[in-house]
Amino acid sequence: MSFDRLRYELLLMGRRVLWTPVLVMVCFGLFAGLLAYLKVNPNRFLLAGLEMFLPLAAGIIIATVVTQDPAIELQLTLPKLYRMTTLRRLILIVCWSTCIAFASSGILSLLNLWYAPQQVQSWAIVLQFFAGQLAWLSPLLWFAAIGLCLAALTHNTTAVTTLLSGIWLLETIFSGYFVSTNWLQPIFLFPTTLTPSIDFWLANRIELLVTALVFLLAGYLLLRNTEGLLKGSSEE
Amino acid sequence: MSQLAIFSGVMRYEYRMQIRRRSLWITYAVFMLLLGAILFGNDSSTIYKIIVHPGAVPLSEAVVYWATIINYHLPIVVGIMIADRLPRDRRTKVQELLTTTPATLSARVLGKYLGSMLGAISPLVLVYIGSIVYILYQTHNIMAIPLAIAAFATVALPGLLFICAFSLACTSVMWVPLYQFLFVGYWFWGNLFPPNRGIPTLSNTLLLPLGGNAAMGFFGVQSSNIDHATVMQGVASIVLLLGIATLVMVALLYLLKWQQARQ
Repeated sequence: MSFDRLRYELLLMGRRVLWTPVLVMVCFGLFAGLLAYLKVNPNRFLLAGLEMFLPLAAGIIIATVVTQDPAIELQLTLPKLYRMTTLRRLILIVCWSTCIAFASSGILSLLNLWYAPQQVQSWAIVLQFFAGQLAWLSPLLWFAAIGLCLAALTHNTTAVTTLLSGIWLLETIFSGYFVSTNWLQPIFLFPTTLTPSIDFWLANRIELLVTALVFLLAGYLLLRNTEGLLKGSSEE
Repeated sequence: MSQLAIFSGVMRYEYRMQIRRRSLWITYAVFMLLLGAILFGNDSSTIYKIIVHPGAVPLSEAVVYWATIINYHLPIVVGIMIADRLPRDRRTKVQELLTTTPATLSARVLGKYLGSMLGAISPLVLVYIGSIVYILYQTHNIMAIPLAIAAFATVALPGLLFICAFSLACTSVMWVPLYQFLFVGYWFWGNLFPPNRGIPTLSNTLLLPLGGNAAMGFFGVQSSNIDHATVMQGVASIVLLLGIATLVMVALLYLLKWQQARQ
């Protein structure tokens, strides 16, 4: 039953949801090929695809899936709680993005294109590889959780997409400010690509995971507001 | 009814629809809060000094800096807000209904383009007006008003028209969330990414919607990665941005006509 349910959820969300993360990484791979042709080291660029762009794509997809269910009225009449359905969809998207990211980082390691953060460079190779996965896992979960939280709060795809994009842009442009300000360090999302030499990389990754869990819980609780979900579906 | 009357009617209606969107005001408010926290949080930065003490720098610099600040991050909101306008017509099934009216496709699409753009940039313009009032209060120089109009028309407006044309056109063939994601990536790569880092970028070319060519060429203020531009380069950048926006709108009209013919 549960496998069928997952399959149906995937069919309902559509191919676009599945293909977008793949497309992101393929485009980054092709552009990295162009950079290599131009004699530019593509390591950091490829890491940017994993750490910066894939999480943003996942966040936007989650915001769209949570706020735009054409059968929301019907969903809310079913004995199965809608928030459980939403959570199942979120897990599917995150798992799929994780698979793509893990496969991509594996390929990058094999091709010797992986860019390990300075704090773990002295570790054993295997440990370095697995710790290095936090480079994309933490922002991926953070964007997924905050995407869910904002979607449940605003019930509006456009608002969530814009807010996620704004956070992404500010974190990217003011990276130096995030690094130098103590209270902003735990929410700095892209240190591996933008400031790989920082000495709080590991602590930052763990703090991001913890805040992602808090946002996830908040988002789950906010999904109890079924009236808001209905209102949001007709507002745009 | 003349097509001009239809065009202005569509424009008015699209404008009202846009400014009544709750998401427009929420996102602008959050953007301004985040941006304010960062800009005002570091009192030793150059930009903080220019914003807080506009009288300490030449008037043109203070005004052009504000035209650039509003054009730095806020077009992300504008682009994303415009992106769902055409797909919305399809989703709410009014597209077929609209084709039965005497309004031509071009009047409807151009009205939608200008109306939704004016609505989406309204909060941005309010922020700009507020900043100019502050500059006026600090400097007591009435020249800030004509300078502000000129800076907005040359630095900010061409870029906004450019991105709005793409946001409206691309989503007629592309999934809206995918376009929104690509748009954010483009905005960073094509505007804010520093040149000479090996990765080719548009941020030091004439195709810069941020307005760096006009700011440098007309006012002699460096507000982006453009560190040198002549008046002619400023003009060329504006003409290029507006020309491409026009081409994109023409292409969109042809595409929509073709889609209509296939139905």
